[in-house]
Amino acid sequence: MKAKKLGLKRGLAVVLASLFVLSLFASSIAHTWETKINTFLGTSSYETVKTGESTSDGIYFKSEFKTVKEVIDAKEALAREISQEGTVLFKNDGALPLNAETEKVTVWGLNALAPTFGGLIGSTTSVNYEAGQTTVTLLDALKENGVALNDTLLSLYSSSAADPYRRKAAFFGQEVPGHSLIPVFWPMFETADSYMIGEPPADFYTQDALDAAKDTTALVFLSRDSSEASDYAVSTMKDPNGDQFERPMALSANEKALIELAKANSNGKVIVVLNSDVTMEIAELKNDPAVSAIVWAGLPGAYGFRGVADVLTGAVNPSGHIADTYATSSISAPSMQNFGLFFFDVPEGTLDPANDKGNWYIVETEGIYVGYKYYETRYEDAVLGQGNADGTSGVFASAGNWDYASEVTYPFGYGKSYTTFEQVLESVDFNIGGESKATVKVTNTGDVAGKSVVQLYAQAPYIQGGVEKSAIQLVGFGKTAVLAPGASETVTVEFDAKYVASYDENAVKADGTQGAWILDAGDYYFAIGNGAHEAINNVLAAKLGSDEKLVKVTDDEVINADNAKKISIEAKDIETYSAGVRNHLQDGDIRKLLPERGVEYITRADWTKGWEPVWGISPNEAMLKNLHNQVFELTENGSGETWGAANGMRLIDMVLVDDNGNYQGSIALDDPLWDTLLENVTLEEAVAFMKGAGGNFEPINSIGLQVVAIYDGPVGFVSDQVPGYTANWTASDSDEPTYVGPDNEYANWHMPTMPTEPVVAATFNTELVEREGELFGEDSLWANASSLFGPGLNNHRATYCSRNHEYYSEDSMLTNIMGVAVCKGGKSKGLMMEPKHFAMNHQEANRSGTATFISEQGARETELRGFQGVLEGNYAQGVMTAFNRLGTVYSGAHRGLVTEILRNEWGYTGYVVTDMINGAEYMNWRDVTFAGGGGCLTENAYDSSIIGDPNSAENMKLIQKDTVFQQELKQMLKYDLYTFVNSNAMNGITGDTRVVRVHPWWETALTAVNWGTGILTLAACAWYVVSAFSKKEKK
Amino acid sequence: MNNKKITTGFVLAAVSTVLAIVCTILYRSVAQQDSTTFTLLIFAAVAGAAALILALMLGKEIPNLFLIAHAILLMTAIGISIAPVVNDMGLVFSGLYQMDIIKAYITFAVCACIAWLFAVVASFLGVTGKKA
Repeated sequence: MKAKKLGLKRGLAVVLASLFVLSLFASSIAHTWETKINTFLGTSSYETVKTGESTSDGIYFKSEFKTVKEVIDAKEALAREISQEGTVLFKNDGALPLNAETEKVTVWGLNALAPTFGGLIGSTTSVNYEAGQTTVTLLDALKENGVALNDTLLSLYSSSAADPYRRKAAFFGQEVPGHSLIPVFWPMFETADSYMIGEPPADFYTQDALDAAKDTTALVFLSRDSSEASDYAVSTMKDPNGDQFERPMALSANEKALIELAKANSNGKVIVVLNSDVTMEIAELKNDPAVSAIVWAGLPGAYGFRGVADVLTGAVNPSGHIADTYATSSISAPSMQNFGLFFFDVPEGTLDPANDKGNWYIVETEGIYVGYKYYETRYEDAVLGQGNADGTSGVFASAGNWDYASEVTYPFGYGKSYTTFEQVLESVDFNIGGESKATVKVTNTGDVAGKSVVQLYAQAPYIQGGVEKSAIQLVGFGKTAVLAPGASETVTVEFDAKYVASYDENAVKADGTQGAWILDAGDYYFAIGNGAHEAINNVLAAKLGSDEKLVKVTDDEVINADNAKKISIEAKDIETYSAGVRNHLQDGDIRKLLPERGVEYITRADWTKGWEPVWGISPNEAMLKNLHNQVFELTENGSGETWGAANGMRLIDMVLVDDNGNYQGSIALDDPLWDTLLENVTLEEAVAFMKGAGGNFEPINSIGLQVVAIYDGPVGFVSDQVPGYTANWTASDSDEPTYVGPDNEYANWHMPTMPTEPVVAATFNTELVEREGELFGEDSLWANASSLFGPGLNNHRATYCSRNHEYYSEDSMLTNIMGVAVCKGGKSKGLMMEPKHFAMNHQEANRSGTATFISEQGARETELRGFQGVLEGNYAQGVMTAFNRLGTVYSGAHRGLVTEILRNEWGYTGYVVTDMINGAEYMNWRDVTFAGGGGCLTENAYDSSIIGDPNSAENMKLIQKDTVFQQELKQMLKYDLYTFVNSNAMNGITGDTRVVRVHPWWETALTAVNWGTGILTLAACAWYVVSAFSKKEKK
Repeated sequence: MNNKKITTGFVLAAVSTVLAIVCTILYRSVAQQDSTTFTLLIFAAVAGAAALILALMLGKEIPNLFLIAHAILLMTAIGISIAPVVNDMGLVFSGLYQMDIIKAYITFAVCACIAWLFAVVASFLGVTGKKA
């Protein structure tokens, strides 16, 4: 009996002690995940308190709206307007616009019921249905516009018979309608073998449904998905439900059958709507006389289908122009030959996929010839008989030799209208080192009012065998107001001559450094056109004096030599745009890293070269060192920096106000006061700030920096991070004018609802895009969220990259101009916009660690040009580096990229942050900091890494000895703090604001459990020990 | 020594000790490893073994103290091992990662929890006993 009692006491002590241990670890883990728990529970661990000494209201960026409802309404209206102007009319034999009063429409295509509104993850279109928010499909929008729809087929689509064919991707544990792609975050060694198109076979359609469609206008809805962390694969040829296709971008068997059924069961009008941000293969639709019209809608977000319906019904005249080349074969671009899964040829075990993430690569052999720059340049060379352009290399859709008309269905920049416009290029003023502009007179020569886009292209003289040059490149554009029939407007297109220059890696400048932006001597042509093809035809007509050899691919193309102006430059210029410029990306060029491998790139000198996929690269020793993430080491050097000076300066002291207390920005970045402020920060705080930029930038109490949160979302704050306008507010903020309390009717409405970037780009309207940025800024003010990971400014290198929906275009200049516009708008409201992914993030398959090899000219003229405008002009406040490597060095730790080009050449003063740390070794904090990178987007990824947590005792000892590292850390911090002071993150903060750490209820509860189990454990142990070992008890 | 009885508690402690050794081996195949966990598992196994040996040699209460240490060390190892995989678990449960990435950890954790349960029951029963 006695033994049993003792056993009970012993067991109790063990159980309680175990529970105590468990509760301690639970508390520790909860502390690590504090941000996420707070977001989930709507609590906060910080509170701002005011001592009452300041009279300022601390509102430095003000809203133009009185209520959050007004913001929501403005966004819905703008989304409609963007889609009105971003919808592209490819083909129209008169079937459009629809006559809502007389026509009944049958919508064909199961996907019309659950269209793809946006991509998955970063740009997921999200609405809160429970809170009363809705999405608008094309069906809804057509009904709103008074179009009578045939309900019989819709009923069939809504029936359970259609269930097996509905698209639904598994994501975050939920089925997501309208999506087929499944995000993949782990290393891929094989491509997906199937893709669900989402259309049923012909025998699904009942005779009743077919009969009901007769004598109605057919509207066929075709859709392709988009998603982050997923790519299409050329080799995928089947659908899990039995549908088949030659390639995922080609029409599937069921889609072809759908079109045939629509043609056979209609009034003769068949209109195809493309709901896709990836370019589909639609030549057969273009060439089919029974297909009356083709309309590109893209992925228009939650409300954009209203704009599409406005175009279809003629409420608005289409003025969109496609931002990508619609090639006949989706694999015909040079970039597609080296897209997907390529693996280094190394002995097994040399590279560790889990830690190094360095087993895979791509070689961008296309260089500068991305998108239309390939098709149109090769076209010019074929016309001029240069460089084997009309040979058989790279032939995908031509019968025999390469033929532009067979290879391209719709060229970049093309778009039709319900009216006709005449555009006359009146003058071009090309000033090297100064402002350049062109004036174009636009006249509406048709009988419907509408807007017209003026696209200005340039051609620099190409010297055979010299620096690669695109035969045509967009340099600027403008858009008219709505022109009534017969009305005219003169549009002035301003452009920067530096974007006409080419990057010559071999040029040696006067200062002896190598690498320069050059303008060769010779004839420059500036041309306008409805797309790149019409523009180059105008150039060629001017060059040749005839249009005899020229090829038209659209029925409304007009070739006019007068719409191309020639300007000659007598002397080559390599200095004007090369101040401080030199080669920094030579280590990204596989030809320079492994010359013996003999990799060929695409070249105008000989179009037969550069088409081979580059398989099985064997990295040399230096490359392997980088692939093992051994780029920088901590060493003992210098005498250390000053930290923790306690000099009393606070971040708010850096805010400038005028005599009336109005916000005037911040003290200049080069003011020594910043150094004094930074001396106040402790080294531990600086390190914690650098390594923990995931979700939040860590607060720095020594200078009064409160938490600054960073959120994803090129189409609005992503809803899993900011799940509503009220989510980031606490009751203590209720005196702020844009406060949204939990009782507000719109408190839980989601924000990512805007059209995707290809739709925005297709508007060719910077005013609309700047307004979009302003409304993102309004969301920022009303949701108390100061930063947004967007816009995406990567190039559409390959159409099979299913993240193209987050990027504007295949063209870097269109991307550049759109990026500037949206960031300008956001900045005006104090929103820190953070373009991504800097740089060369061109595929999602194995995106983590992919070694991307590209020539420096290719990198600078394609991808980097897209980022240049917004970063050089400091319109963006942050920039996110990419997952991939440039060459073999992680992009976020590539000093040439993030310090030499970004900071020193471009003069960017915002902050830099990595993409999500999902490879703690290759994206390690040590390399990132040394290279001049910035915050690391993680909360705890380094805890279990080989290199370890930088705040660990061991690493802190090393950091304390490394002055160079500390200097980089301080510089990074300076950029961050400077940016914060210039943003609406300062709203609500005045001279007397103090950030106080508080304990939310869940933290208090956990502490109580810790104490409770601890005390009980002690008691149980004491009870047991006394029972087991005291003499009295033994007696 | 011959007058020591093999009790149920002794058997359970033995099973728990063997499982602790198995856990130590299993932990080597976990993707996100932590050296402290590994060390604690070794100490837990040693404490378990000590409890068993001392039970056979000494009897009385001293061996049970090692059994207590064995159980608490096991729980500490389990607790410490969770932190590095929390990130991965979150991504698996949200559908972003494949189960494979945490499969080895789950096997380890289940084994460790069973070992701890055996140790707890054994601590109620005690590892020592005398022959009638």
